[in-house]
Amino acid sequence: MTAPIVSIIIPVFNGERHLGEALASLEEEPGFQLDIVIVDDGSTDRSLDIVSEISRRDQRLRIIRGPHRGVAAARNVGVQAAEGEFVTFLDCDDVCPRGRIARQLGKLLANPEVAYVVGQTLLFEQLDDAQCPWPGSRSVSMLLPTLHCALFRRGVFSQFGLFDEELAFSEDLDFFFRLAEHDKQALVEAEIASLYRRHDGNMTRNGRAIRTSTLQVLNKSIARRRAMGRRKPLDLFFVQHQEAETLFGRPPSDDARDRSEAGTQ
Amino acid sequence: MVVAAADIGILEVSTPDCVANDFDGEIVALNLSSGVYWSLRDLAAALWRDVTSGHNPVAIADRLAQINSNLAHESHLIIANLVNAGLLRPCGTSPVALEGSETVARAEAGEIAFSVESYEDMKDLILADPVHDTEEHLGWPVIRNDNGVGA
Repeated sequence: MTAPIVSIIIPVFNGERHLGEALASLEEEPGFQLDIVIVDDGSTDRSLDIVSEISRRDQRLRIIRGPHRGVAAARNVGVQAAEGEFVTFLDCDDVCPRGRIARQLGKLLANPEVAYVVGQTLLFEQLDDAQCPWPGSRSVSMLLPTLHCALFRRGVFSQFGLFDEELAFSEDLDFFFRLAEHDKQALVEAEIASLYRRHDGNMTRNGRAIRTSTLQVLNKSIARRRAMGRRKPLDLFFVQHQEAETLFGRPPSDDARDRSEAGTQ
Repeated sequence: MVVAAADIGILEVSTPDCVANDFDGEIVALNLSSGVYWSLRDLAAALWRDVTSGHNPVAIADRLAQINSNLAHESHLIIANLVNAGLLRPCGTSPVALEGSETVARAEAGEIAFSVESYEDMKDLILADPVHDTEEHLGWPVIRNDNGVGA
């Protein structure tokens, strides 16, 4: 049987500082083929040179170049170019934990009703060779609505659309809201699924802009729920602390029951 | 402490706990401490814009009472709820003239709907808070304790 293909989308904008480390974390793993889709979002530094150099010895890499349009647009280009039936993400300044993709893929394959698996995010300043925070450096582990801690079935994107390019920030939060509005089942795991570097250049340091885009996400979600007549609260995985693996969203049988009760077969 | 409508003077947005924005006339306000978020439309959005720009909510309600007593009652109730929800708080500034009130103008034009919705599905946002980032300059999210207080 052919091994499943997992596409990992890496948007890059002037990421020369940590890009090599990010790509080096995508080691060959048994059980699946990795389709690495680098979407260069108009970098003006040495990012493309670094990727080109690595792609000469790593046939799994594909490079898509384009003008600077923002991270949501870059991710959308990547999703549209993805060859895998499963899709995940990595930012060019972050690190993929060893074994993360294989572990999450195993959970998706074992649970056909689950749309995506999401794990914990470890925010760090510096890692050692074992991918552990450097002694004395700052780190914290938490459950965040970020794309690089999740593995999705590709069908999720064809069913619910791509990332909202209107949003300067929080397009990931918006995407998770859309899935929750439709009660798509998510398996939340206790393991670390993302190594998220905090540094001077993080986009997510602009607190005021993030708060504004968060309100924009809420506004869009409220409008969608109003349009679909949904009154039931969302089952949002990232607002609760999880000590153990937990299933969010409702099984498809509940949806069928609701449709039946509403008389809309 | 629960605030009664009659005790309310001039109000302001309860920053930093409350963040709010006006989206084409609809106000979306989020209490970052509780995780509860609100949508205000129609006269409720006008009332928010009025009181956050210095109008006295009691003076607005008094004027609404001359148009329709239900409007006055609803405006009192909404303001009290927004204060008790931690979105607005009393402040010491002087009120602006009632003539400029959007709420009064729209009520005089025949509007009667105060549309208010609140959503509690982010209410458990107490342990890991990626939004309420008090260490903004450092870029580290705040881990909060079980009382919802930054630790």
